[in-house]
Amino acid sequence: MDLRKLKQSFLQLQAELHPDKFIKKSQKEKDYSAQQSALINEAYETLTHPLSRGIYMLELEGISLEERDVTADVGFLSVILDLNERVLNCEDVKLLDEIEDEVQDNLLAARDAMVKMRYFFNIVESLKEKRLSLPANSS
Amino acid sequence: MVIDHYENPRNVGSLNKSDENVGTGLVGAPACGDVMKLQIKVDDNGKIVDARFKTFGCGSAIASSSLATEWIKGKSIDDAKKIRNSDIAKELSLPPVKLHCSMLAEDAIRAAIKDYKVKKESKSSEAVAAN
Repeated sequence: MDLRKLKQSFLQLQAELHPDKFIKKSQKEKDYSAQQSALINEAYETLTHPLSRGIYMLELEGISLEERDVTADVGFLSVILDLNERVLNCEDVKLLDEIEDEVQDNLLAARDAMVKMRYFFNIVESLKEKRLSLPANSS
Repeated sequence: MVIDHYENPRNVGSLNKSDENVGTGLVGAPACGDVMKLQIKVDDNGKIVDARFKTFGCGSAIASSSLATEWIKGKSIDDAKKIRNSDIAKELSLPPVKLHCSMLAEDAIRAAIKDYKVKKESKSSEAVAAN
């Protein structure tokens, strides 16, 4: 992901569509600009952060995190709760370093998961291409 | 009063997890990474006599769990189960993007009750086995 290029396109689109450019235009044009501009902001936010970008990529494949979802993995949540409590009660910078190391280990595991996702996405793309190359009635 | 749950959350803390009369519910929201622990202490008549929570998350999640603990204290576990996230959301005037915070609180109540019941059942089956 070329973040510099992303920012360039973002700024360029906002320069064209931002509501400030439509102050003297009709209400319809103002509304349209406000909608589009908000959408561009959202898109930029989503693409800038690796986590939201990953979640969005899954959504494109029809796998979404629903508002209603609840994590009930008690073992995992206990670890998260414990980390939060230790951060909250920590009075010693050295201890903060220790906690950070633990979290870092988990971030590395997350990176591994993302890397695997990359391979799977390549297969999803190959599937799409393959589908197009096969005659529709071949099944 | 409602704002107060944001500024001065009630019942923050923990109950003794290994107490057989204490049920612990631990839930999290994948959409935002908030985590909520809600505990109930139940007397022999099935009444919730105490409730505590610890929530790491946004203000709305903290307020939702604070309100939830206030509401369930003094209720029977059956009545506590009837509390709906929509009641919590309405009382706190949560905006639509924060509805999941109230859902988390509802799920935490249910998880705590379930944990309490599982504990009680395993206790009574132990007693039967001992006889």
